Amino acid sequence: MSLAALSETDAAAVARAVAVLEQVHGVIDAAMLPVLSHPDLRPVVDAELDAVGRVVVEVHRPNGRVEGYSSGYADDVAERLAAEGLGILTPIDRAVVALVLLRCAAMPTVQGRPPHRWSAAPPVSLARLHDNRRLGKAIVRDAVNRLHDLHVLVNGRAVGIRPGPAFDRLTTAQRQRIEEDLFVLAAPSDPVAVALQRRHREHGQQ
Amino acid sequence: MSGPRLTAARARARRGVEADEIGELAALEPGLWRVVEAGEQRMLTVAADLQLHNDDLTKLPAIRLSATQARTLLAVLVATATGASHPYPGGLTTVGDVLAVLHWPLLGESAAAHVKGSLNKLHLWRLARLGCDGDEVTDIDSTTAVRVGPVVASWSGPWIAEPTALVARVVEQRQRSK
Repeated sequence: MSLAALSETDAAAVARAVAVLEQVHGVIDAAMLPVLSHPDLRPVVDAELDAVGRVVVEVHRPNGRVEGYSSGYADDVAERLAAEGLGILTPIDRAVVALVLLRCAAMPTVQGRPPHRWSAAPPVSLARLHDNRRLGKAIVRDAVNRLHDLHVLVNGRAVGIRPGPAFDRLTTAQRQRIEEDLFVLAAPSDPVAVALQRRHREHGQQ
Repeated sequence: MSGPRLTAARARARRGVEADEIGELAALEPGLWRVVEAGEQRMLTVAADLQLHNDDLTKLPAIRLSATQARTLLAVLVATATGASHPYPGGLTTVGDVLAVLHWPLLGESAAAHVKGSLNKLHLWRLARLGCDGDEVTDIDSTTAVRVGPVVASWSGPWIAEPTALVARVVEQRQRSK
């Protein structure tokens, strides 16, 4: 169904939801966008976003209820863009993102304290990132500043560094892929990691 | 994968629309999307009346400019103002003129360095454009050219009257004090 088929009020509500999802950074409280829980209007929002290769990303509370919304690239579109080199981080920036995710998300999860969502994870200090001796201090600092400007990380200076609002735009499948990559990074010879790498290789060849 | 769907996603990811993509993007819902022209650059963005402004954004998570970045952007708008109702495309000015709006040299070296840092950020976010067309600006000084950036071309809605009036007042005050 297109906007033209809706009443003026419903079309305005759908348009407003698309506009908010696409312009705001971070998770929007579910109460701000009631149209996304409307059984007839939600499919229209989904269709309008799909027309530009985007999807609604739902953020759930631990009890399973929807806490809020964001929007991001659909999985098939994200893969295609990545394959074309669009929106790709440099290897150094990817390495620094991996360090931050390992410290802020992976390690607390292993210790039984998974962050509710990555962008709300407890921050890590710049000094801890410098524990990685393979990346020089200046390289890490410059990458953190670049990634902050791209909203991939939030550099809270004295408060520390944490994943940024860009991670709120990842779908479940995209986040799972990163989690698998982090697992491979942390334990490359683990049988599960070997199987994951094999699956990623096979998927990449398709 | 359908044409306009992937084309729109590409345009968003690269923050620009190629000339041969305009026809395909015309198929998108006009009540939601538009292609904004900013000189030779084009951007796919939300329809003009859907652009969020301050009243909306106070209740929503948004990335905001720091105080220095906001002051610097205002100074760029003042230094490039032409009296038109929309700040884009504005005039061509220099970093020195932007600093002068912010009361250089009374500003001090340290504050001026922060302003230059803010100009670099505004350039990165395409709110301002440093250097002449096509130049890669690596180090800015007072003679570096400054224009408003292509993102300013996408500003739309009645709220623009507010910053435009503010800029006009500052321009008038500056002319009176000369």
